Amino acid sequence: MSLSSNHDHAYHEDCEIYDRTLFGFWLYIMTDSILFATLFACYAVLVYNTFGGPGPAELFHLPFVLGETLLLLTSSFTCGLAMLSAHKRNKERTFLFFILTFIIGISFLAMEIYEFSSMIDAGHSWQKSAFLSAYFTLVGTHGLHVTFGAIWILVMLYHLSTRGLTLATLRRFSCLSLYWHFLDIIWIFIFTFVYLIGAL
Amino acid sequence: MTHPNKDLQTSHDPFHSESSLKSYLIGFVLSILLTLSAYFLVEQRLLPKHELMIAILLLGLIQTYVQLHYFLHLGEQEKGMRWKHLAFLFMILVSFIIVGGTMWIMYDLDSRVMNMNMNTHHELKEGSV
Repeated sequence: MSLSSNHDHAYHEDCEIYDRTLFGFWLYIMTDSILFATLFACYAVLVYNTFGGPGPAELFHLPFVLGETLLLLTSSFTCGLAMLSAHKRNKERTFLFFILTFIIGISFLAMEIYEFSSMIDAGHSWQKSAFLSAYFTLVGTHGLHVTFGAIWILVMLYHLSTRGLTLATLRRFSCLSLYWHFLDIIWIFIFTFVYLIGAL
Repeated sequence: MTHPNKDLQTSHDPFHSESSLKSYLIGFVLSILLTLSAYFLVEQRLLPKHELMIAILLLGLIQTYVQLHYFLHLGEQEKGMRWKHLAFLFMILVSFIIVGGTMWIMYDLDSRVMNMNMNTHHELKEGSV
């Protein structure tokens, strides 16, 4: 076997690993979607069980939620720009756009934490009614996912700066961007079913 | 078996991708428009309640498709065997069964129980299951 065919063979294997990993990660995203489906199902059943207390129309502030939505959407966009840069092998731009994604994602989380804490301070904690339990679980789980995604971005930025834009780094970034886009899609459902319909 | 993973590959070089700036821009702008439309429809109450609900649902579904297509590039694999697509459709099926089945069962149980109704909202709100 000549050296060049060894190299080709290793490269071909790396491409297979890349494709298999991305597909496997996609399957994980599908199972995570089912997880959210179950939380939505619970919310749908319990949304009117307010135990005499306030419901969605009384508690949710739509302009604030619109702000959260636009933030998360923008972070999904900057994540896409980051991946474009990564595919063009531009290490600096990839870094820049993922930092931007991180900052915008953190801002989303800050808004959500503010929203949650002001509800709890006003006495509307998840212990007060089935509706509130279902709401905090559903939206809280999404927020937890965003938090882990943000941590993952930091880890990947460390990878990027120390190891460079290798095939393995690209593979992991690709998984991260799948994850991040998926979170924005889940948020569309939360925005629609929890907040918008709740306000009606 | 020759190259079983060829079906998964859209290209041979992972550094080459099917996405483009145009794709992300279109997806981003469309998503913003769809979000703002849904928001203003609700805020300004431009439609009666039942129609409003349907409109918001449709806008949400359209935006989901927009993001799946322009951000996640779902459905852009070669027509051969679209495994990602298939997995996605199966997830949708399972989700429908879980959400629809749960709501049906719980509604049915609820209708069989004598309720001392402490809820501020009527269970059988129009437009809900």
